[in-house]
Amino acid sequence: MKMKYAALIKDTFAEIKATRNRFLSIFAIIALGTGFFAGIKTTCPNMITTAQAYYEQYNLADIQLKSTMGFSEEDLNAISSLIYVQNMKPGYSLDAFCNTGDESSIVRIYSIDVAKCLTDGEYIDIPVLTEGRFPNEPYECIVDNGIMAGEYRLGDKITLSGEDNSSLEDSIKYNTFTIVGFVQSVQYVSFERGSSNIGNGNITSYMYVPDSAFTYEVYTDIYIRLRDTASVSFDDELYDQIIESYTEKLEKVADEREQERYDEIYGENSEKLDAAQRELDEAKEQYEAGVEQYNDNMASASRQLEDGKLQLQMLIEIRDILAATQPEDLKTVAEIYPQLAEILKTFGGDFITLPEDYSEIELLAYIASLESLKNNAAKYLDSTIKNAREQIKTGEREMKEAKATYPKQFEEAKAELDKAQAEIDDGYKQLSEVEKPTWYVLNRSNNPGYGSFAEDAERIDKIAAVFPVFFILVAALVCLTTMTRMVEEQRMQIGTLKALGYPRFLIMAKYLSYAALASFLGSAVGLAIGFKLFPTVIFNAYRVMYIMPSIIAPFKWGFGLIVTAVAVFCTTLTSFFACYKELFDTPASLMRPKSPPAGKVILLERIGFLWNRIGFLRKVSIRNLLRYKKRILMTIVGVAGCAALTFTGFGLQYAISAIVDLQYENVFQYDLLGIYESDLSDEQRGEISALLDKSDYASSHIMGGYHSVNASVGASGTKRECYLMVPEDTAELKDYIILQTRVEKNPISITPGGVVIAEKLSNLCSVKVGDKLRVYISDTAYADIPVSGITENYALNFIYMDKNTYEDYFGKPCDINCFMAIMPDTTKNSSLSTEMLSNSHILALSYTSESGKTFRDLVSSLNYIVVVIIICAGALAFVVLYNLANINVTERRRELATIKVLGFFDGEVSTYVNRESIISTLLGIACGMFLGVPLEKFVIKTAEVDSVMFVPNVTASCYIYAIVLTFGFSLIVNAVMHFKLKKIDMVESLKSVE
Amino acid sequence: MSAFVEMRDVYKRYKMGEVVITASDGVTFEINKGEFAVIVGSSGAGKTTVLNMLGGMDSCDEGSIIVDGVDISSFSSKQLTEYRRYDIGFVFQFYNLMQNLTVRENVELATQICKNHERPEVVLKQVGLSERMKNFPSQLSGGEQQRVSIARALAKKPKLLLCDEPTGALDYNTGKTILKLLQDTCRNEGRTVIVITHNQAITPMADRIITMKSAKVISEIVNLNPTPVENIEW
Ligand SMILES: Nc1ncnc2c1ncn2[C@@H]1O[C@H](COP(=O)(O)OP(=O)(O)O)[C@@H](O)[C@H]1O
Ligand SMILES: [Mg+2]
Repeated sequence: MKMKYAALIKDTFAEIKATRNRFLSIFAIIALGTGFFAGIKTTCPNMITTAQAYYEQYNLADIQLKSTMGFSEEDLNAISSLIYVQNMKPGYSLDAFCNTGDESSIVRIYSIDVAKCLTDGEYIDIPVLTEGRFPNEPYECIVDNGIMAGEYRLGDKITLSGEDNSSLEDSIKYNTFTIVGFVQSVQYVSFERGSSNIGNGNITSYMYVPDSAFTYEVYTDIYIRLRDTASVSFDDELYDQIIESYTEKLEKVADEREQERYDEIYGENSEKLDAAQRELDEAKEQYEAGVEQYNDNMASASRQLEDGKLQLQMLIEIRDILAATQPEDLKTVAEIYPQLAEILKTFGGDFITLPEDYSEIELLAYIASLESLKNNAAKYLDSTIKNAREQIKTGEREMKEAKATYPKQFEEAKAELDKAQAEIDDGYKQLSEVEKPTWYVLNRSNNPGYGSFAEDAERIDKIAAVFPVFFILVAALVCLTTMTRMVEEQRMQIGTLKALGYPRFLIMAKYLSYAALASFLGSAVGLAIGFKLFPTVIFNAYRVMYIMPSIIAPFKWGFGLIVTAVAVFCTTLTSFFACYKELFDTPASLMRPKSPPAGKVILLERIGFLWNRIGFLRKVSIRNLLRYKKRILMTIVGVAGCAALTFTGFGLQYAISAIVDLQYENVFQYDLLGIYESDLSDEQRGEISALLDKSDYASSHIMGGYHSVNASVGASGTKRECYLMVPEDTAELKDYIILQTRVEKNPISITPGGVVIAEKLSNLCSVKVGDKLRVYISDTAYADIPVSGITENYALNFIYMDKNTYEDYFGKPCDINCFMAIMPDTTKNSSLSTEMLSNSHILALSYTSESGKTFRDLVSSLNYIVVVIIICAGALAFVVLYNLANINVTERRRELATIKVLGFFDGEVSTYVNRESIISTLLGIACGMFLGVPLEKFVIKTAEVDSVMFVPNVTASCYIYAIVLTFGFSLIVNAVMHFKLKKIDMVESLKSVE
Repeated sequence: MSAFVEMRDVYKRYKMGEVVITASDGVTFEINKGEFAVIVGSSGAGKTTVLNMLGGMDSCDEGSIIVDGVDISSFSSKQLTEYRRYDIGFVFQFYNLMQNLTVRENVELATQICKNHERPEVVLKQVGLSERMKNFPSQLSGGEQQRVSIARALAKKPKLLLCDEPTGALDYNTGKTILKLLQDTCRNEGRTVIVITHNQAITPMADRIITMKSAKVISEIVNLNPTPVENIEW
């Protein structure tokens, strides 16, 4: 028995050697099938793995916090102490203008802690250095490799400025930074750089400068990596769930911190104000006391002056009296004027009492004393009066001076106090107006390109789901025909072995192992190539749009084993069917040559008038076609598969790329959509309107409400994200957005009481005109509104509604928050932006031409996939056609040698055979087109995302390309066959009996 | 007057690895126009090789093959095809009919490519198969199939009718009728016919008998009194 095995194994290998071509054709089709399947199938997971590894290696933040007031040390502590935060990074960011020549573009400047970045493997969002080094000095920077590498060299300087060339000194220390390196940031996987609220709002690049270059008092950003996401792929639903739950938690923390920060700011300021008020109050009191004092002083001074004056008057009177008084009368006068007596008293004023009997001398002495008294008193009075006069003068002068200075001073002090009070009042007022800081908890979907990358990867996966089915089907069929032919050729040998008494399974083992070996090797080679080739080609196509490291495309053993097992099983099974019948034949009948199928009159011949019109050789071809039915069927299936795949490839490409023209040129007539704050007053909206009216770059515009809403059918239907557009003037909308049915191009008008919806939305919700659609303007506010029209629309799902209808259904007027404008010259986007963004209420501007371009770039990568599909389809067609043609030629060798002997030229021999193959190719193409239409529809359906409707109708060019290409493949095979036919040796072929 | 067919010092060698097999070793003979020639010899003697060269299916390594005054040994493959197309009719041991074509169509296959041809009905009548024109080969007996094969060759009105063991696969009587048909064709239409056989017994019917052995022509006999086939027994 062992001997038998050995002999059979030897025989099998000898067989492989002898029938290399046959072995190779099974090998090739299996390699193609498995390679294509495995390669396409693993592309999406590999893309995800690659991105995930990239994100992990450079620690892409899970969450980014931003705050309207920045983050204090306490805020940082609060975040870093959270148990679920693995690590966090505070940082600064700033948008500035970067001037290159005449142009200025917006650059986002991030801070980087260089020391940490270099040493700490956990540092968040490590920039990947592509050239140069990290900065050592605060005036050095590293810049966006993707955008800036073309414009700058290492060592160049970048000059930054604020809006209108203002200085940035409040934010950053230097105006000029030296480029020391180029980097790519894991935050930016595409070439989009996000938007800013300065300039035209469009950031073109980013750069990093050391922390120490910033002059901010507080951090502007916090980046967080969560503990729980450490081992979760970003593509996993679990990741989104984790992010969602921690976003909620962080929002709670944010609420607390916002309140605390508010209290802090409020407390600090109000304390300061209170202290100031207290001080001011004191000052006020002082002032008041001062004023009082002054008034008192002035009053007493003037009183004193009055007294002085009165005294003076009196003194003058006395002096006059004194002067008029004879000394001898002094006493008498003195008795009348006590004041005089008083004065006289001071001068020893006792009047000498003249004795009754006074002597002359005594009298003379008496008079003399009186006289001297009088003189003395007069002298005294004179000097006293003089003094008093002077005093009064001085007093009066002093008062005058005081009056001249103090009130002025008081006035000034008063003004100052009032001012201080006003300031404090203002402070209080401001304090009362202080807003709470707002924290934003942002996740990765905020990073430009992050979301679309995952979407693109998934799209490939969806497309990948359909195509391999064909390859497997065709591979099985190729295997079946090849093995059938092989078994037929070896009838004699099988018969001999049977006659020799070999059991069936042993005989069969040869064919089964032949097929198994071919498919195993084919699968091994196919997988080895496919696992690498397809993911790499497709990913490299995507790398035109995404900044990512090269793909990680490992040989996936588990998957590979399953694919190989299936391939081997399928081929073995088909070869079992191929030799099953033969094995149950008797050895005798097996050893007799199997006569070629006998000729038969075909149905067509009975239709005489038709049959007679066909040329002789054509008749022959038709007969032959019908003779080898199985093979023709195979050709038709293979060609149909190829044609259908090619058609699908082109159809898919058209379906996606045509969206750009159809949506952005045919549907959207407006050139600019601007979004502004929704709570503006009529006046503020008027300003925007005036701005547009005034602008040379916008010729007309309308206002409207543009809101993100959800729609579903009834309460249970899935909610679909869509955009609600409520024009302020419904009649004017038609100049900005064309509403019409897609097929008939009948214009649709927005009727009161109904909504016009995008076709894709109607498909998603399966609603027709007249059905009701539930429109949610918030989680709780919704209305069931009948659909009055379904409009042609490809990108994003729109709902159009009249503003009165809105008010009727939702009980409040729609917030007007957008304008649509038509531009006479659509190349003037940035000029218009600069004008429009001077209005601070405008939030975003979106140009139709730019959206179209972005979309076009996005879909251009699909061309590569189409090319891959077409090449694979071509390879498939080639293998199938070549294999079948080969079988055809070897099986009909004798017949072909005969016609050669008859004197058919090489060309005629080729035509004789190829006419059959051309007819079957044509039939195959026809079937392929029938097959391709639903296939293309199916692929488009699967590849479509909710927000986009691929163009469902294909153009004639898709048919033409598919037909021409498929026919081309078949012609190549025919050309190859021509040489094979030429080589048929008549002598050899006719020598032996079949 | 030179002969209609003339082979002069024709060599044909097959290289089988190291070994060189000489299948024609200086073959020289001539056949006149309208003659019925038989090449006879045991199996492996090199008869088929000679006929193939003569019929333009194979080329010789050395020597010249002159047919109707033209040396075909120097023909290109295209010229050889043309030569086969217009000048040669072949009849094989195993008929080599197209199974998928009716009798008539098998003949038509030849007439399609020949400018000056006989109408299929006419030749088929000539070989006695007028009634079977719409049958497929599988519906005919071996002799009938061989007659179709002859009709196919004759329809081209060839200068030379070459037959390689035409009776090899047929029984005695059927073989005889085939040989009769060939002899009649030669006699009635004056067509030059060369028949290969390993059967020495049928040589008397020929005008010229060329005997081969070990790749060489060992004798060339002109038979001035050919015997009609009916009178030959073997
Ligand atoms: N294609 C070939 N390759 C090698 N040897 C050949 C080939 N054709 C014929 N021969 C050899 O040439 C010799 C003559 O063959 P052939 O002409 O067929 O003989 P016959 O027809 O007389 O039986 C034989 O020995 C044969 O083995
Ligand atoms: Mg022979």
